[in-house]
Amino acid sequence: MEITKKTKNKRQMSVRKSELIFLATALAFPLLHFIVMWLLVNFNSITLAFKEYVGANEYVFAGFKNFEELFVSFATKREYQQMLTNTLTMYLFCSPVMLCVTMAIAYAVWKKVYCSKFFSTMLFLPSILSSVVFVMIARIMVAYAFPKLFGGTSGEILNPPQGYTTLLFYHCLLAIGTNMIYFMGAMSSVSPEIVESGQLEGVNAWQEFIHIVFPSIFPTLTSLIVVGLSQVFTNQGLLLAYYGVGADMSVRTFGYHIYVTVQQSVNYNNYPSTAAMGMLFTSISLPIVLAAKHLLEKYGPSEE
Amino acid sequence: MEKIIQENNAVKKRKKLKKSNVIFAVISSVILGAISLFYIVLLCWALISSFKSNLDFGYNPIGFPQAESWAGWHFENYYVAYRVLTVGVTYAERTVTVYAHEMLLNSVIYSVGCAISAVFWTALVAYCCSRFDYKICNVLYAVVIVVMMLPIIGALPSEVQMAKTLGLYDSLFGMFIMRAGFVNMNFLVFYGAFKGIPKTYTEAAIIDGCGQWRVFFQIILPLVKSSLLAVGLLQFIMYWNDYSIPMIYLPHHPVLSFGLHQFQESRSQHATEPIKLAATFICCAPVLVIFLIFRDKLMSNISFGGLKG
Repeated sequence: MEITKKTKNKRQMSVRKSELIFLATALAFPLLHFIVMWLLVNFNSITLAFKEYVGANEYVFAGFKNFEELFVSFATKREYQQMLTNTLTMYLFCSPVMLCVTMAIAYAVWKKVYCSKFFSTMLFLPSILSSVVFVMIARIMVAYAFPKLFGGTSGEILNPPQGYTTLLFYHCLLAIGTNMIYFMGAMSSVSPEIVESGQLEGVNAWQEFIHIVFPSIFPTLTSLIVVGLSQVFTNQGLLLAYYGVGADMSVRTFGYHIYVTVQQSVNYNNYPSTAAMGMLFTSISLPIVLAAKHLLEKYGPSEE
Repeated sequence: MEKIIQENNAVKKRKKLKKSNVIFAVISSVILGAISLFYIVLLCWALISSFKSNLDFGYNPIGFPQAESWAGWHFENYYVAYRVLTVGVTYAERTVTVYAHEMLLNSVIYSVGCAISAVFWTALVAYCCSRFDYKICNVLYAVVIVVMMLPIIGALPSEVQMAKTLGLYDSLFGMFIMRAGFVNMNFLVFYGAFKGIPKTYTEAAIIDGCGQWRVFFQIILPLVKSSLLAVGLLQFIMYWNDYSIPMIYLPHHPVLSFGLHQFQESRSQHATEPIKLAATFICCAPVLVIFLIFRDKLMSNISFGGLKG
């Protein structure tokens, strides 16, 4: 009896040992990667925000100088205020508005309306093709076909300042597919029995969506809202694809501005101001993201 | 009598419901049809225009190539586009021309390598977090959830600095290492998939003397191969289409999508509008083929839940 117990204990010890060895070997590289490419990178980013470039890849401590300059720019430069407006408009259209539209589309496809398989394929197509492809097609179509079709100044709808609105609309239209797939994945977990019993009780499509489907997809929706909020200041839509690195200040978002500043930086001279801008936006976004997550989880619908 | 009235009411209610469902289906189909039609018109117009001569396109940018026979369809545009799709790469003292076949090779290496690296490490960490009950696993799961919610902005300069310091900058292999992170949405997809596998599967294998790595490769991964394939393909497509990251990190290894991005601004005499449109289809052909083959797998195996910490 005791021998069996001992053997069992021995086996458990050996399993535990093998698990620990597996975890050590499996997690060593990912942990190192996380420490270097996330922790150190972000720590370096914070220190960069308080530095100043003095040439020959050298930096000196500059206190809050970068932040002071940034606040002055926000208060005095019109382009910074315009960039803030563009950034917030892009967020509003790409996240809350498009999430509602995509949710409705995913529900219609999930309900298997006429030709739903064809529609879902077509809607997913823009998500798998490069934005450069669609931008190139739109650029040529607007410049050559639009004046013939619609006449007047229709060929200039992609030029600033109205170009921003056109690109925003186009970007939203192309972005339907990815979120649709996530919602459809979540909807596939809705129990057919519940749907069937709802139908027997005479619920219409709207009631079915609100009372049965919506609570089931709410965790996915929460994730997408939180991730969308965390990307407010990094989103650049189709700006890079359309304008390259030389977009007019009137159409820029902060996400685009930060990217272009780094890309165009011949040496490291622009890095500290960009890092300071990033740190400022992070400190604004962080409480908003956390509060949104907390509120959504607390007041969101329950599956029960 | 009362029963008949009740039955009549039920029939009326069913009819009303059926009518409202039909209205919903019709309105939804019309909206979905309109959006789909927009994409179809866009792509078909581009495809037809890519076969026109430059002169024909200038006079007739809307219709089919103006010709009474197939001779008016310039299929050679694709060959020309493949030849003129080039990018100039600047070194210290000289500029080298990179041709489409070189960019194609860079694209294949970059997308396949980054996709494998991203999927493998994410899946491995998700497996550890979902199957083992150790403190480190719970900590890692919490780290993923917290980091995903943190809106880190402006870390790009620091990341470029780090890549240069570690010798990962301007190297395809360096990109594979940089993309090996596990903090992303796919972690949640894999976490959910691994959690759904009963523990008895692996316990039986361990009792039979199977090692942990063997369990992971030969039992676990085949069980989630649908999710693995879907995420892997989506990652491949994402990296294939990506031009902004290679633009910063791979200045001397241009990929095809970056070449296309530069080509749209090209003022070369060969870079006419039909040739540019032909170049777009050359660039997206591999992705379109993958999509057509794996359409169902791509569209039916992605789901994730909330960000519960």
